[in-house]
Amino acid sequence: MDAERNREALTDPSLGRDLQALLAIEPSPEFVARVRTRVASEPEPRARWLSWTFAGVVAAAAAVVVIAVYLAGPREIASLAQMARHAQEGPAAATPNVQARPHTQPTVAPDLSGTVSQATSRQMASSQRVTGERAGSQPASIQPASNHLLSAEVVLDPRETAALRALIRGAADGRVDLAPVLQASTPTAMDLPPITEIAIPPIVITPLAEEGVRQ
Amino acid sequence: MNGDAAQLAGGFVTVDRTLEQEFEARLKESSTLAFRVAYSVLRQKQDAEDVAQEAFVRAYRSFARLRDRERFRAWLVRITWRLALDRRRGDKRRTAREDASDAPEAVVGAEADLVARERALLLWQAIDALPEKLRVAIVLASLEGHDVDEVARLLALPLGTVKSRLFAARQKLRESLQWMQNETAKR
Repeated sequence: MDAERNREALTDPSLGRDLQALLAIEPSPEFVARVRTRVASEPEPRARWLSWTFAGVVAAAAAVVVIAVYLAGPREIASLAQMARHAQEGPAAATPNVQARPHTQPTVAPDLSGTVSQATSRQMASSQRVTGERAGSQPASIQPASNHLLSAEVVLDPRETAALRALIRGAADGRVDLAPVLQASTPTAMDLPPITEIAIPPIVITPLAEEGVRQ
Repeated sequence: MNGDAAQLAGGFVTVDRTLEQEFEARLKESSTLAFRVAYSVLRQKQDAEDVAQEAFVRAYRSFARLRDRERFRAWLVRITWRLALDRRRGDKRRTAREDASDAPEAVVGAEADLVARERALLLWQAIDALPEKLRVAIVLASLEGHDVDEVARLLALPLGTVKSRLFAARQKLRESLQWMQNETAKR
């Protein structure tokens, strides 16, 4: 009897029926209500959808800003390169050497600005190579800026210039040790002397010489 | 300005209500499916309900992109299956509970005789012995009259693949049941 039933159980229709009977189980009646309650405690799906939308908008805006900066950047770099080139050529031609001038006159600091402008021009030149032809296509708009740069001259005392040069040379050669200066803490505020009354002597006006006396 | 904001908010409320209504409809029509998928893995009614509930919560979180009915049901089956497997692997108390229950609940309620219980146990063992791809196919095909097309949609697989998997699954089930019955007969 059992053997017959087992043989019958191995046929496809019977196997299918057994499987269906095995899985024909219903959830408890309160199952759906429990799911509803649990879902109700969740944040609304709309909020997540909106947050993703918001994140997308922010990302798109950021991308637009980056692209705008990228497109605008080479022009500015090119204009800076032009300015640096003009600055390098202009002051050097106008005031070639400070030491040739007398020390009593204030002078332009061409070497310092020249050093800065050389370093700047090196950086700008490398950027200019990257930007390529774009840099050369904007000379007209750059000219006023470079003229303005040339007109803004920095006037330094030649003695300060000489002292600064000596300091830089000494630091470079190792004759001057700047470590204590660099490690020094910020100096404290100077103590001011107490305010005292200023004694102003009375002004005495001496009378003029006697009438009729002329020299 | 305020009118625009109110109109915008009204639009969101409408979208929300529509989403809620659609989710409620999916919940009603798919709750048994999710529960049975979980039950086929866990064999415990309470555990299956917990897993199915968790699957619905996850579905709710992603419901904005799961509004299509077929997509929702396929996603629900997959996530329920995965969650149930994870639970089964992670639940160290499962063995103790199985020992305590000693038999699937459906069989206890429907067919109380010893032969039916034994046959059901053998069938579950045979199902457990199947590779996962075959197991999920045969379980889904055995649920509430799903045909091969429905199983293919739920698994997002070609029809031919599902047919071959069902064929292989039934063959392996028959072999396993035959072997188990032989072993039982020897004893």
